[in-house]
Amino acid sequence: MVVVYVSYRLLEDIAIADACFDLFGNSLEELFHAGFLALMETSVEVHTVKEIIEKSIKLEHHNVEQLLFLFLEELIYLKDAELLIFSKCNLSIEQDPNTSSYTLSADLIGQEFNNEISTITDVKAVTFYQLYVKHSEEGWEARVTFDL
Amino acid sequence: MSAKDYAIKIDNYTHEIPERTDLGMNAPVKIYGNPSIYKMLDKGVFQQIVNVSKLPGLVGHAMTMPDAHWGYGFPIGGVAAFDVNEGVISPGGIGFDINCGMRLITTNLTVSEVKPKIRELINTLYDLIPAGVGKKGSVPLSMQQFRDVAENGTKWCIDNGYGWDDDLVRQENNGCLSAADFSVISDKAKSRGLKQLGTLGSGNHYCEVQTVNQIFDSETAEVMGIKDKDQTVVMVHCGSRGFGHQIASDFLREFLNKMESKWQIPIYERELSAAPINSKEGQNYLKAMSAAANFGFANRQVIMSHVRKGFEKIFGRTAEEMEMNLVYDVAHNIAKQEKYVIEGRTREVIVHRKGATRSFGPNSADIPDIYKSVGQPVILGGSMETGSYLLAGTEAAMTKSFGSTAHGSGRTMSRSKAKKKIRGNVLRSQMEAKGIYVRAASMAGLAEEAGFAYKNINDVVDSIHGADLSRKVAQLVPIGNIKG
Repeated sequence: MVVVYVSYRLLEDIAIADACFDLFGNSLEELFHAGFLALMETSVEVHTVKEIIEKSIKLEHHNVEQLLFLFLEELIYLKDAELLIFSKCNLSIEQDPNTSSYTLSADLIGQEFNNEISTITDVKAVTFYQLYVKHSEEGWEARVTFDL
Repeated sequence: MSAKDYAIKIDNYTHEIPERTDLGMNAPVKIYGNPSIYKMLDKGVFQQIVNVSKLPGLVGHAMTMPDAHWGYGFPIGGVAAFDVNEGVISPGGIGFDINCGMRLITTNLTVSEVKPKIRELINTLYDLIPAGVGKKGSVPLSMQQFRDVAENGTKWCIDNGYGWDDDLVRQENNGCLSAADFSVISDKAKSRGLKQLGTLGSGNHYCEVQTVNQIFDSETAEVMGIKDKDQTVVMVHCGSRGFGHQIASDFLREFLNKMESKWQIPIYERELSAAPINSKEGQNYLKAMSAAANFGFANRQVIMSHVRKGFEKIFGRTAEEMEMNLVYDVAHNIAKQEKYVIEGRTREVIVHRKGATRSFGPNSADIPDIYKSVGQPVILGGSMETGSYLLAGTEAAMTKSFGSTAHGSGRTMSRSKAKKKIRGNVLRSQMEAKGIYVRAASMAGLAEEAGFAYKNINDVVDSIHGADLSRKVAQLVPIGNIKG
């Protein structure tokens, strides 16, 4: 597992009722972690989330864009179905050299919602709107839009 | 050239983009809005509704309502009808929050009776109605009960003590779409919705105590239970929560994977994914969407039962004594199978309303008998600062807009820009100074919903009244609000 530090940028003039982000990372792990942070920081004041519960998830897809979509969708699912919110995420992404399929393993650390968590807004869904993941000499970049 | 450059002014409230094969359009487009609204419409609205006009089986015009704004797939405020045999159904034409909608509840209390107790009342409602991110619902359900809710909608609530028999008829489709089938829905969607019955959610969802500020049509208002200026009413705005959101996501993805390969439908925007209505996939979505719609009706029904309890607690009278009757419950993110006469021929269509309200006129078969003489109530939610409107459906809407009208104000400023302009606690103080007491789960979320982030609702109402898509009945202004 690799602990990564990443960044994202909110695009204010796209999908104004919702939230569109550009994500950046030197590696795929950093890129996905940026997505994790963008989602969590849209939903809650992350510093108010305590590190009580650890949840491990594993996801696979041959397409890295779809994998990002699945990862963010899983976080939304855990928010509603298990009432879990996270402040930390340690993740790794491996690509099978034979099948080219990607496997994401993530340890999510956080807690069940309670009244001590300062909430912001509910993310309803990840969308395909302007969704992309690309790799260049400068690193990895993605765009993702959340329906709020 | 942008799509807007092809628009031609038809009258003061209507523009049209004629069908253009060079743009790939299968149908013309109509844009509703007075000059002020038209000027403000963002270019995304034009491009997105032109994309909608490219889908197969479209009947009549694809159109946008005056509160339209840039969404994905369809614009918010988009309406399109597709032939049931040749057309498509699109989750992006309904929205992630399936059966997001409004309901309006009357009381016989005046503003002078309610205002002195508004803090106590709003605090009580805030305690009774779970609001905000990560809140568990107020009605614990087994999976079997959840299935019953999804397949029976409001009726389940009435049968289980969350409402009055009379509530049932005062809702679109009596609060139940009969096509609902729980078996076609993913386990993920079921798990997301299981704990959320009776929750408000967040964003622009709210429960608002309002007072009647102006009555435009006293006869229609009387029929709808609005008797006097200064009468207190309650408005609820929310939808089908994670259940509907996941159903939309699941089918959107499935359709996207098959659109080009299986049905040879070009993908103009991935959020505009669609399936032939007659396909197994299309039919399954219709069944799942209907189940989510039923959950949306039930969600608002349970919240209404909490509203009644809250009023009983604060005012020491029964909800019946306070005449807390449901005026109507309207959906504004939904697709419905309806019949219209198009160029002299009766066509059966699936009308997609995404951020658009049904506005059926007098004597329509699908509205309750009590409203046959005046048309169905249409509930338009404004921003929490500026007020809302009660209107009535019109005969003209049946021929002009597939019985559709606007749904609210329509956002003009992004959430982040709104937050930069004002802090939530400052906004709350400003609203309190104006006589609106607010309890919000999130101060940041409150700032996102500031009145200046929305279009002027009076312009929206002027547009739909002027275009005869709905008739003004009463203006309602807030005195208290809870939001997620």
